[in-house]
Amino acid sequence: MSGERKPAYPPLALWGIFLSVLTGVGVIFFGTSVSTPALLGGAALFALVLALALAVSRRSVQVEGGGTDPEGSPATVWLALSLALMMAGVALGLWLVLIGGGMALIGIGGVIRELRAQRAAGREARR
Amino acid sequence: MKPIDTRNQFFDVWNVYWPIALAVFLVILGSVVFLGLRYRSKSNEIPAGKDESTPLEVGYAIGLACIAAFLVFLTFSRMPGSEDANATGKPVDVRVTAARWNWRFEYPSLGYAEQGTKRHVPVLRVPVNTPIEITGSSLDVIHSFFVPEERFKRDVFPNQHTRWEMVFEDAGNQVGGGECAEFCGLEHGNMNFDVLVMPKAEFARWAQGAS
Amino acid sequence: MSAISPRPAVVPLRPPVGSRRRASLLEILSSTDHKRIGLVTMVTAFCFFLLGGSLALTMRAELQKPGLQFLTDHTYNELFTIHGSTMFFLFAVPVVLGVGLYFVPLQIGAARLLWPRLALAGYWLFAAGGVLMYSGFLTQQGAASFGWTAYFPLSDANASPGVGADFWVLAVILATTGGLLQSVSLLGTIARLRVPGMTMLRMPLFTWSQLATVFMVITGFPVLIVTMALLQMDREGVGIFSASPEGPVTYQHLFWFYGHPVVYVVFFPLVGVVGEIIATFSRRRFFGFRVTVLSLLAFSAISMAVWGHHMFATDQVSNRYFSLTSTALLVPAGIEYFGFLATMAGGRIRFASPMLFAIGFVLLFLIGGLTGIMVASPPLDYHVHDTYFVVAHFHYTLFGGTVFGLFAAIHYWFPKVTGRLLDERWAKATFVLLFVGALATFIPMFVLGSEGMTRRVADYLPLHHWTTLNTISTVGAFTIALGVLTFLVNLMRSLRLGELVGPDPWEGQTLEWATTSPPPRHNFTALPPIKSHTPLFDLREEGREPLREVGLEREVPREEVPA
Repeated sequence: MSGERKPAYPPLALWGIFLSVLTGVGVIFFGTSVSTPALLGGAALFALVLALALAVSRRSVQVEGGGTDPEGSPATVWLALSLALMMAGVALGLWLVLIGGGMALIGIGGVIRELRAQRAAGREARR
Repeated sequence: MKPIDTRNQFFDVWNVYWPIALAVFLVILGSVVFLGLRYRSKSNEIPAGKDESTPLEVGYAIGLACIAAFLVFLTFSRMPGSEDANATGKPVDVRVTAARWNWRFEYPSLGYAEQGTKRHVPVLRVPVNTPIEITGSSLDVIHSFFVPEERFKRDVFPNQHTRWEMVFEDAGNQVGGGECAEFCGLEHGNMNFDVLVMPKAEFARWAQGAS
Repeated sequence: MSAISPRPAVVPLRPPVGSRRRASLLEILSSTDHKRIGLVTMVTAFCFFLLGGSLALTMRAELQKPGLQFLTDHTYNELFTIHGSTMFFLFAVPVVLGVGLYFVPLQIGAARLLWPRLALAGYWLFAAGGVLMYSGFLTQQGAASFGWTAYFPLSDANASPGVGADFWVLAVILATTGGLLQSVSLLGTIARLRVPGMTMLRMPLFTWSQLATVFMVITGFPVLIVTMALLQMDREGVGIFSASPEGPVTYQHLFWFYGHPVVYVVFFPLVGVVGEIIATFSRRRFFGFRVTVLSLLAFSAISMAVWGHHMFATDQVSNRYFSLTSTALLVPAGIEYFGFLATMAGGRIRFASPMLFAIGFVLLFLIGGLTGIMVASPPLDYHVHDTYFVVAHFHYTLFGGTVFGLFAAIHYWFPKVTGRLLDERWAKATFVLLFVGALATFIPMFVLGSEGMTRRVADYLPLHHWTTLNTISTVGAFTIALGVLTFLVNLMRSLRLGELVGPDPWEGQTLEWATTSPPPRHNFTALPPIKSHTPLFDLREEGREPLREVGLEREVPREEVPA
């Protein structure tokens, strides 16, 4: 019974290569302007770098036994809504940005606490 | 610049594309109906048959690529456009300026300007079968100069001059023959103009009177 | 940790009573369970679909005949702006991501999402964005009214003053960031949480299509987020797009670099579901799976390289390059269609409602695809760009693609999510009304556009004689509305009274059918062996039952389980 799980980066790397070819065709045969190599070439580069990151990092990620997710994460909801309030504050005024910012700090604290508890539970479970 | 017959440019391509598209649609529709009826079954046996055939699919992909290549060649051959043998004479220079929400047509060589207002729909006067060289610009947001009868439009930008040329082949008065095609705000839908294509002699007489 | 057993998976007919106490609304909305996040995202997105659709109905009522009957120009402009914005930012993108969040972990045999907090945060950013966008209607100058594309300088502070427009820009940033976060979570999940034995090529078609989608999201969405931030800065007085005459064109490049891939983002996952539905309901594996996977990757890559075709009429891009790439799309699209037909050929087809909607997708999306090849040719586009021809084209890809695909997915996966079937007769009524409505609403628009009716206009001149076609289109739109209504009735009814089913009512091929309906918190108690992209089908082919359904009080023989 095979337990292997082949790596995930090849499709992304292939995709990055596709984008590179498309960029090349545009620049070489059609003399496309700055925007094409910048945008499409940039996307190609990003995809290739991300594929590299995926390839390199797979050895170090421990995800087996990851069942220490909490049932819910109210801190995340709080944080997301605070960010939304900050965004609304860009239009409505600095007062809202500051309120949202304060709430966001609380939210970040909450998420950090949750993550710590999660890690502790994971250590506990592995003992 | 070579005079472009925008109508020919359109129809040369359209007359090939639409029959192909219709044929493809009918073939696929027919296949779906045929396959749906032919292979409809209440049996829960797993049918025999292969799940893939890479040579078939590669061949098919090559066929599709050939169709794509053909369409691209056809399209490229009509860009910038087909020369219109009928267009003769000295090109007429028109400056088109769009501003929210009307048009201004200026004839620099005649020193004449046609300004659209709330009460006056501007008229674009052009001689028939003559190259018209147009320079377009906008005073505010992006607009688009669109003459459906000629199967052509071109966007005009603020602080930029876009140049193109057209040939108008049928004399006549098209009321509401021109529109703004790029959404430009509140009265975008009311930004139409008339197109008056005049026989050459008549245009010459008008030009004399106007300058 | 799931056990992989060489014998069929043993699956309870229903989750044990009391195995999961009824959650409070608060718990559901802050859950890290991918199924809850996915479902909440889908439901919220569908609500926005209903809102956006109502705006469309209002527009169609006004356009039925010449003369402004009950709307002003300004209100009309708000309506089409928010209609398009709702449908893209608040409905289509979130709904396909929601479907992915629910079903990708199931299809890959995972118990959870990787980084579920990202997905949860993503939902709330999207929801908040939606509220913010609609808040524009409550402001003095109204909601944004510059089109969902927000072209510059129409969208600058000069031409579009008012905080409603600012809300729109910020809402787009929120919703798009939300989608990006959910996609990152999906990408991580696919990369790291596939059950052992599931190589990439053993992932099902839907998961592959979702992966290709995520590639487009992570490269395209950040560009929009940055562009909108720059737009807002310009609106606040910092010269970005207003700093040079090239600003408006630069804006279009940046916008469409996101704007084209997004239309693929909203239909790709549904191509995957439709493929799986056609395969399941033809009792075959999808034909040419590996070629299709390659073609999906190529399709999504090419889609990143075609954005200039929205700018053909500007004469500021290489029309030839973008015409080449746009026309090239017909190759992978044709391969997908070949797959649909070749799967049906030689199959044993059942026409249950998921299959009907899948066929509807195939035919309606085709109209969009073929007319898409037309507008990929600049000489044709010079005429039909910014007219109702293009409106018809993209409504066929969006309505035929996203909406029909979504209805196919809903009718297919509703039993998995709820443990009940949707009613087949109401479903058929929905199908007929939506299909006929789609034809009646949008075919006349091809003609209107060819005759020169431009888009984004509240009214038209009687001298054009466009009234008949507009009337047919309006009737079609209300037919669609009626179809959606029948679906809502079906939904409400079936949630209480729908026929109860077990884990696998359709004889499915993929892992989501190897667990109870609905699945328990961590998805699986056991999994069948993974030897291909169709594990359950493999077992059936070997003559073995893929599941042994065990009731808690008694064993349920296979024949008694509704098919």
